[in-house]
Amino acid sequence: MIYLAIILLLLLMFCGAPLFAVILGASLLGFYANEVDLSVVAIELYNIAETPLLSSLPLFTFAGYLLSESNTSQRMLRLVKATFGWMPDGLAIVAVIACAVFTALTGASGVTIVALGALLLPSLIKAGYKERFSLGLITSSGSMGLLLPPSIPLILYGIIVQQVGAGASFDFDELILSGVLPGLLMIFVMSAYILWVHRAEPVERTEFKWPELKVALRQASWELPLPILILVGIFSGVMAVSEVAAIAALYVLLIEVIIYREIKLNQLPDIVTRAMIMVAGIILILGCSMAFTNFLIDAQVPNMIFDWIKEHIDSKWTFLLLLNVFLLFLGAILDIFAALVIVVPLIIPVALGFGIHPIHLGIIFLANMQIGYFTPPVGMNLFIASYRFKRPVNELYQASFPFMIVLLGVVLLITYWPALSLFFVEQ
Amino acid sequence: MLLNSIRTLDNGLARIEKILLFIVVFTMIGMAVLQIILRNGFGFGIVWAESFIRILVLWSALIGAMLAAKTNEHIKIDVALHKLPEKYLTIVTRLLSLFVCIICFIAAYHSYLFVLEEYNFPNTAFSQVPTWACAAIIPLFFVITGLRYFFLLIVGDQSRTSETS
Repeated sequence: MIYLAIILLLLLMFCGAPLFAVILGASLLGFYANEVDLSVVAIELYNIAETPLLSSLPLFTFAGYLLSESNTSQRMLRLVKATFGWMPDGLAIVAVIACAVFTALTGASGVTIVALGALLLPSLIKAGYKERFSLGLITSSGSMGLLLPPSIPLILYGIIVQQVGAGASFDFDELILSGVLPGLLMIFVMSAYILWVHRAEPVERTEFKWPELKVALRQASWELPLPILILVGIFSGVMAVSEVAAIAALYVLLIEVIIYREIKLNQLPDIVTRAMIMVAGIILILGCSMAFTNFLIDAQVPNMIFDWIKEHIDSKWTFLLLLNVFLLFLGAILDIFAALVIVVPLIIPVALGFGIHPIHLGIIFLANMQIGYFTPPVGMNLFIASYRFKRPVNELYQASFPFMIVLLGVVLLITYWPALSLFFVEQ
Repeated sequence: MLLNSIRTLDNGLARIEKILLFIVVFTMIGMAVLQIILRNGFGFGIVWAESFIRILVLWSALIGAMLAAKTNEHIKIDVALHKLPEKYLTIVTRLLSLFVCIICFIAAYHSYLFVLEEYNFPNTAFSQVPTWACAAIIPLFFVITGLRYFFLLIVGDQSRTSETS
């Protein structure tokens, strides 16, 4: 009977039932089978209100939605172009950097391709890059910057690990800072690949112009302090991440509404609604998963998984390789936040058992998920790019494939070179 | 006729939810910033501010999730759905709505029991506010989400059938 219900739930999940309902159903079923009072589900959901730092999620997301609704993307692109455009293959590298900065500031909601893609694609093609190369570049850069601060997914990872406990302890500042080097490495390798592809027939370079840089700087002068504010806020230790998020949200609100005047007051309720629908989906799954995870822990499932894996795999490195394969697959079928919430509680005890540092695990997790965004068949950015550029998804699979291989290499490097992720962690 | 009045009612409800969401989010920002100013500028803080902000996170999440139910925008794995032919699609989406509806009503009943228990043996959530008042949003969320999926079950999910072409 129970097995039948489990199969039914799995079937419903793969048919497209909302994940929160599937997880909730599984928890209800589990608690019912163990004769636990079902009100425990509501208690677990109420635990959302006992989770520290969680307010950083809605606040950073709201700030990100505000930025993507205004002309920040244009100002930022102009600035990055004026700063880096003179380099060999400048424009393509500019595209990668601009995408990374924009994703870092707005969160990983797929908005980067929508906001920057329409500006970047025509200018890349005009500058002489092949169409297919340009499409692949933008599609695969859409999730670049996921690891750069404030990195909303990394914050969520930290919150989940703290909730699960499992004996993993680290500083939030260290966690967020740890994403910087792997994130920069991805940008660096992508840029190197761009240069390598065009080594035989270099694309014409543009000249560096001071006046253009000055204009670009002046235009973005109100938005430029934002990354600094976030970085200093988090790393000075004066404020908690959630407080930095509140200040960032207020700051962005003030500059976009009062100074740039690109967002009208009557647009605000709509922007709030859209941002919160996105965050609510994540937090709701988080709440339902906490109930489910507790059931699994009561039933000793993580221990069983660990024992089973330990029996078949004895080296940490084999485990990491399998983890990569699993996460890539996961990233291709599941939203990054949902994947974090559902899978992290289960793999954290196993990974700790293999002696993997929890921060390193978080970086590996997100690096894989970043590629998952454009992995066939369902990577979200493939569909967003397909919709945005009016191209069949198949063409985008092919266009972004070489970039995927390059980034996979970086993911392996990140996986097997823990020191890179743990550079800022006091051992 | 009845369907239309339900739809009007649903839209009215969504309007209230949006206003509430707006207030909750801005209160969250305001409280957090106020707390920082008080602490760094005046050397003291509001004792219950942090707890209050966390309750606001819960409320914003559940109100946002109610709104997500209206258009069935909840996170899901929809690989299989994209591949389904139109004629099965309506049946499958209705079955899924039925499933969500049942789960939500079960959860609504048990969350109601939780709130009732809290009401009879009150705890304090923050300042003078009892936990049951803060937790009351949970059964409310499940009831409204359940009703919205019930509505989707009856009328079908237009957004999805037109989108998957």
